[in-house]
Amino acid sequence: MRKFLGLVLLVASVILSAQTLIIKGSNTVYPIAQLWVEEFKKINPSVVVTLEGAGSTTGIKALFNNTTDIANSSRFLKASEVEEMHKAGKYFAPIVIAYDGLSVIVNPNLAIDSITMETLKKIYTGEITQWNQVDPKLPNRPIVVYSRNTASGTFETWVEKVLQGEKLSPRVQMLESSQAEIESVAKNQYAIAYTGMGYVTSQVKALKVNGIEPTIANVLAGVYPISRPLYVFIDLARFNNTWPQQGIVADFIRFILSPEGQKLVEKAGYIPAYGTGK
Amino acid sequence: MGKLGSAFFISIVSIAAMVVAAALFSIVFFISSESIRAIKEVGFGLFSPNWYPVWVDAEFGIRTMLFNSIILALWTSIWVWSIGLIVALYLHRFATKKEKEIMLRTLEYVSGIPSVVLGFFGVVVLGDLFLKFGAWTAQNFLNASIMLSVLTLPFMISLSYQSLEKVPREVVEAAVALGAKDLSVMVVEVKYASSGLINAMLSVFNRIFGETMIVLMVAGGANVLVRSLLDPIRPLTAALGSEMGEVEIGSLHYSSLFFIGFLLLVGSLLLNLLTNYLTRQRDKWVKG
Repeated sequence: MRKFLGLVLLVASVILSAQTLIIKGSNTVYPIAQLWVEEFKKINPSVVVTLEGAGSTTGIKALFNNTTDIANSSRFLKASEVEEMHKAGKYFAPIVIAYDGLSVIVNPNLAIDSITMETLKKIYTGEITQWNQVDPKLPNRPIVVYSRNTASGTFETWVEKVLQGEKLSPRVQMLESSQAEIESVAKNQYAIAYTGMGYVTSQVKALKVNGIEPTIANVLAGVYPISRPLYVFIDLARFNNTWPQQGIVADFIRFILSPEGQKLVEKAGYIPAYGTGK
Repeated sequence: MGKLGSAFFISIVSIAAMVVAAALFSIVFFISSESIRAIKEVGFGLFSPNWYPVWVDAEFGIRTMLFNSIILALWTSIWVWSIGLIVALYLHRFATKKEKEIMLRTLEYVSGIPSVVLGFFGVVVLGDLFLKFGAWTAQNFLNASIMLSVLTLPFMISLSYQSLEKVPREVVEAAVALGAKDLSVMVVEVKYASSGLINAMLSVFNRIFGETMIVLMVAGGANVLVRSLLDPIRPLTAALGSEMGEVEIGSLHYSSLFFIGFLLLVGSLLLNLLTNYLTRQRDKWVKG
């Protein structure tokens, strides 16, 4: 019996000594997190990392249940979550790791350079269906409206910032990838779509929104209207309510905020929140 | 040794059969049990027209998608059935040996093209043509219908050709002896081969109804009921294929997607039963 117990302890200690890091949460952050995990494993080969992207709410729930170390989120905590957090004696610290800035794209041959948030909302809710309703100088042709499918984080940002929770017109065509959006807009003179700023190519024209150019500088300055910060949450209550300085979570956070980690944010098509140079 | 060998073989075969049957039943069970939540909480709302799965006041109506699926499958099937039957009759009655060989060989190659490649072709080549000829969007009903025809035509032609070839010579000769001309002989042959032809037709319909990749890529993805051939649509399978990957497991949205899967499963099951029934009826009729 004692021998058996010893064996169990031995096995347990071996399992515990192999460090594990669990990351759960947002779909939007998922492509970034994938790149981070890949690089992080190269630096720390002994670490076992599991990564899941089933939505921001799921990630934050997992942080409550102690079933994750890090929660990725494309939104801040809701009031109800903050209240619950206080009751449970937890302290979720937000770290802004990137910005998701969306460009509105049209065909280069369409004579339009700027659009307002109001018009965009009208186009996507189906209130406006012809280009000459946007600007009388434009041709009287139907607007071919493209959107990403509901599973994407880009779509979430769009619904939050442009539609403000209102429903998309059923005439809007759902596409499966940013690549498909760009190609469709490049080929169809009367199409409009939106995509992460990192994906925009010279085949399409990115519009000014409310007169503001979609540039990284404008997103970081907080003046470009269609962008939102992306977060990583950790529970400080697990580190005696102090910022963790040692251990696997601390290492990971340090890595993702480093220039190398922020370069990966750029690679995933988002806007880094911190510097990528030395 | 012989006895032992055959006992061994029998046990392997029966185990395999049981595993397959168990897998099939567990799939049906899993799909239906996951869709129970949607049926309970959404109820008849599942058959309302609007599909807004990720909004705060979510709607899980599949009616528009269901109708679009059925219309697309019927429209495409009618073309595939008629063209397929005509080509099969030509191959069977009039084609020279060389023509037959070339056609059948070509069809074999075409039927090997993966649907994702056809979808890609639809987006890149056919979509461009549509825009050139003045369609307002490249991905639409007709585009999907054409690509689905390309996918299923070889299937239809070779199946109907095979069942026409199986018609015994005596039947044809008897018809000729009774004074039948070319057209009447063909009618006799088609009637004799009808069980095989019906089987081919319903399999083609089933294949078109359940095809996912092509409609996901070229049907257009807009949830409006089709009014013209150039309207973009979103069939049931496209919604399932597009949203299943990222849905929150256990949510109402997840359950509704399973309900779509359940519906597709029931549809194809009923179609299979119908096929069996009809082919048996025709067989009985032929054999007298």
